Amino acid sequence: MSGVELGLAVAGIYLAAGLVFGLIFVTLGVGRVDPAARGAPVQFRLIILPAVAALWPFMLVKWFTGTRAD
Amino acid sequence: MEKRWGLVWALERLVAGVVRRPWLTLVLAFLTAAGSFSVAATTLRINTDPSAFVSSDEQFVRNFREFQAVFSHVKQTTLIVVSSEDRAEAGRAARALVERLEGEPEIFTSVFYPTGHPFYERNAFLFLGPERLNEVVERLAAAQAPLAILAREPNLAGIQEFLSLTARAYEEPVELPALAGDMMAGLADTAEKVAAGRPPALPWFERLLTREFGASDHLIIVQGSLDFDESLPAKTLLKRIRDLAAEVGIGPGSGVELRLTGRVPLEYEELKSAQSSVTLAGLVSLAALTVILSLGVRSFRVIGAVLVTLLTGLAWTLGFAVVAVGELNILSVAFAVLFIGLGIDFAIHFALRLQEAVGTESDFAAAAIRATESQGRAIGLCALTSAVGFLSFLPTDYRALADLGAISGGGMALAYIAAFTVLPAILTITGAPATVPRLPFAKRASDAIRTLTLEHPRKILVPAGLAGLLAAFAAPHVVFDYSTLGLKDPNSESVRTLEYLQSKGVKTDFTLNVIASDGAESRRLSAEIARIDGVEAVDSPDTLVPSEQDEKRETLGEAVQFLWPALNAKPRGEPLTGAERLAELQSIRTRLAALLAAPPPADDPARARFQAEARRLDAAIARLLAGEAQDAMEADAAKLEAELVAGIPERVAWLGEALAPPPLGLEDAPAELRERVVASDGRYLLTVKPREDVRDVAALERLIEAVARIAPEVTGRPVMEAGIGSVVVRSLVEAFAIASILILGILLVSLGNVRESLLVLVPLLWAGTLTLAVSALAGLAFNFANVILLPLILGLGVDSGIHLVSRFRNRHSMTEVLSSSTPRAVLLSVLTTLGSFGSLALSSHNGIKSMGLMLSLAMIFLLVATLLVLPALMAVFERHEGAPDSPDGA
Repeated sequence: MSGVELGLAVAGIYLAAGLVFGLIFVTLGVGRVDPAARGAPVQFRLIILPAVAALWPFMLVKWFTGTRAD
Repeated sequence: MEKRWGLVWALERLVAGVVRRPWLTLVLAFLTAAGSFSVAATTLRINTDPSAFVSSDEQFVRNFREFQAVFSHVKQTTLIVVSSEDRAEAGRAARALVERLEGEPEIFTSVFYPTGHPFYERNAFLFLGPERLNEVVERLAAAQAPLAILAREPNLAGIQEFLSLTARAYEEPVELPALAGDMMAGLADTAEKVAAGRPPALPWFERLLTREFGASDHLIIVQGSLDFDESLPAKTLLKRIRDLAAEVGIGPGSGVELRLTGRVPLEYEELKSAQSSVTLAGLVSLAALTVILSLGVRSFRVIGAVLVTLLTGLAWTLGFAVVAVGELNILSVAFAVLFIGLGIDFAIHFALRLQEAVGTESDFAAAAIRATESQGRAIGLCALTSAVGFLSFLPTDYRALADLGAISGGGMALAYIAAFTVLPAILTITGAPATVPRLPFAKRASDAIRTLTLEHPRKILVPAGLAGLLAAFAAPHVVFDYSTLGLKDPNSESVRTLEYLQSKGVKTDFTLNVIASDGAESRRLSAEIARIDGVEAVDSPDTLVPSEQDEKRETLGEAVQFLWPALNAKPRGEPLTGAERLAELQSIRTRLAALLAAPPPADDPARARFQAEARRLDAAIARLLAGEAQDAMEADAAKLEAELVAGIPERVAWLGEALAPPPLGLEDAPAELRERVVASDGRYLLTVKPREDVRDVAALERLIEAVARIAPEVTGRPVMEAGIGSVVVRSLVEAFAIASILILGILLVSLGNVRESLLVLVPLLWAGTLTLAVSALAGLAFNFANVILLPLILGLGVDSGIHLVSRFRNRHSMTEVLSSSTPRAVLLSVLTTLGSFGSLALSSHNGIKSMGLMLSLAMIFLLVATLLVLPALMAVFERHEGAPDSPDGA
C-alpha cells in the first residue's frame, strides 16, 4: 500500500469513527457538555453533527471531562 | 478555581517578556521582516497563467495541452494589426515592419505575415468572393486601354499617349470613370514629389493596384521572448514592436495605425492596468485608513503601532509565501488583501482593549497582561478559525486557491504573533493613552444602537430575518464569470482591437478549436458545427483552398481575353533620349493646357476632380522644368519618367500570372501556411469563430456546449477558461463546506456551548447571504479577481462573531458588552477593511473594480449583522434565559 493510499485509509477510518461518535454525541452527549442544549430539536443536533464528527477526539475529551466534573 | 487556557498563560508570559524588552523585540521583528521582504522581493514571481494551476487529470486541460503541443504556433502570440484607409500605404508599412521584425530573431522567434504571403498574392483573384471578383474584372476592363499603352511604352511617350487617351475620354460627352481621376491623381502626386526632391515611397501604379486589390488591415502574428524577471514580462517585446513600427513610418500623423492584441498584449495591458489601479487605490486607501483610524482610535501612537504591526506581519507573510509556495499567482497575490483585512482586526482589538485596561490598571505592564488575558483567547480563536478557513482550500482541485489558502493560513498565525509582540513593544516605548472619549456624534450613535438592540430587538430581527429569507432564494443565482476578457479594461487597445478583429471574422485566441483526424472528418465536423446558431464561421485547412475555382477561372479567362494586348505587349527596347523625354513632357503640357482651357461642367464632380488633378500635374511639371539648364532638365525628366513608370512592367507580369492561376488543392498551399492548420501527423485544425461577443459568458457557454455535443474534445482558450471556472466554483464550494464544518467544530470545542457556537456564525451567514443575493440581483458576477472576497467574508464574519460572543461570556450582560470597546473595535475593523479596499472600486481594471464594489457591499452587511442583528439576537436570548454559565477561562 502506498503512502497516499495509507493516508486515505487512515482518514477514512478517522471520519467513520467520527460519524459513529458524532451520532452518539448529538443523541446522548451534547446535553452533558452544554446543559442549554438539552431538549434541543433534531434539526439543531443534525447541524452540529458534521462538526462533531470532524473534531471528534476533542469533543470526546470534552465529553469525558464534563462527565468527570459531574 | 478559574480554568485557564494554556495558550493564554503562554501569551501572558510572552507579552510580559515583550514589555520588559521592547527594543529587543522590535529589533528582532524588524530584522526578520526586512530579511523576509528582501528575499520575497528577489524571489517571488507572479504566474499569470490560470491553466498552470489546474490538474492535468482534467480532460479540458489535457485537450488544451495536446492542442498547444500539436499546433505550437498558438502559444503566447502577439497580433499586430497595421491599418490605413490608404491600402497601399497599409501594405507598404506592413511589409517594411515584417522585414524589421524578421531581422531580430533573438527577440521575435516567429513572424508570420498571412496578409502579404506570396501564395495569397499569386492567387489573389481566386480568393476573392464571386461578386467581388466580378467587380474587379469590370475595373480591369475599364483600364485595359491604358494598361496596354503603358505595358507597350513604359516611358514618358507611353505616359503622354495614356494622358491623351484619358483626355479624349474627358472631352467626350460620356460618363468619366472614377479610375481616370485616380490615375491622374497618381501622376500628379508623383510629379509633385519628384519636383520637391522627395520621390514617393510607393509607385502610383502600385498604389492604384493595391487600392483595388489590397487590404486596409494587415495582420502580422509574432511570437517572442518574454522576460519573466520583469514585473511586466512582455514590456520589452511590445516596446520593440512599437519602436520598429515608428522606424518604418507607422504612428500618429502618418495615416497608418498600429494596434496590438492577442494573448501577450492582453495580459500585459491587464497587468499594467492592475498595477496602476492598485497604486491609485493604495494611496486612496491609505488616506481612508488614516481618517478612519484617527476618528475611531483618536491616538496617533496607537494608529502608528497598529500600522507598523500590520506591515511587519505582512513582510513576514511574504517570506512565508516564498517558503510555502515559491511563487504567486493571479489569486494568491490577493493574500495581501486578506492579511490586511483580517490582520488589522487582531491589532485593533488588542490595541483598544489595551487602551481600556490602561485606564483601570496601575501600570502599562499590568494593563498589557490584563488585555492579553481578556483578548488572547478570543483573538487566538479568530486566528485559528480564519487559518482553518483558508487552509480548507488546500485539498481542493484548483492549486491557485490552495496556494492562497496556504499563504493566508500561515499569515493569520503571523498576524497573531505580530499583534502580541510588535504592538505591545511599540506601545511600551511610546506609551498608550487610556481610551479617549468618543466623539459626540459617535457616542450618540452608539447609544442609539444600544437602545435599539437591547430594548427593541424584534424591530431589528424581524426585518433582518425577512431579508435573510428572501436573500436565501436569490443568493444561489449569483454567477461566476470565468472570462478573463471580462476582467480587462474594455477601452484598452488590446481589447478594442480584439473586438475589431472578431467583427472582421479574423481568427484570434478567443475562438474554439477542434482537431479532426483527417480531411474527411474535418469536412464533416465543419459542416455540422457551422450549422450551430452561435457560430459565425468555421475555418479549416480547406480555407486554404479557394472555393468555386472553376467558375472563377472562367471569369478570369474572360479578363485575360480583353487584357491580351496589355499582357502580351512587347515593351520598346530602346530608352528615350534626354531630348525625347523633354519633348514628351512638352507634349503632355500642351495636351493638359487644352484640357484646362475650359472649366468643367458644374454638375460633374468626376470631371471637376480630373481637371483639378490635371492642373496639379501641369504645375508640377512646370516647376520641375523651370529655369534650369538643358542637362539638368533632362536629368529631372529622367527621374520623373523612372517614377512614373516604376513597377508597371512587374505588375503587368503579375496580372498575367494572377489572371491565369492553375487549379489549387491543399497540397499546393506552402508548407508554412499548411503546417498551421495541418499537423505533421495529418490531423486537421478547425477554428470555430463565435458569432456573439466572447465576453458574454452565458453565450460562450451555450456555444461550447453545442460544439462539444458534436466534437467532445473541443478546446481553445474559452474552453480552458470555462473549465477552470467550473473547477474554481467546485473548489470554493468544497472549501467552504470543509471550512464551515471545521470552524463550527473548533467553536464547539473552544466555547463548549452549542448555541454560542452557532451565534458566532450569524454575521457570516446573514451578511454572506445578503451579499450574494444583492450581487445576483444587481448582475454583479464573481470572477477570478473578486472571488477572494468569499474567504475574506468568512474570516471577518467569524471573527466579528467571536469577539462579540467572547465578550458576552466575559461580561455576562449585553448592556456591558455594548458599552465595552468590542463594538467599537468591530466597527473599526470592518471600516478599515471597507476603507482600504472599497477604493478599488475606482480602478479601471474590471476585476479589481468589481472586488471593490462587492467588498464594500459585504462590509456594510457585515457591520449591520455584527452591530445590530447579532446583539439583538443575543439580547433576546439573554432576556428569555438570563446570563450564561461562568466563562471558560475567557
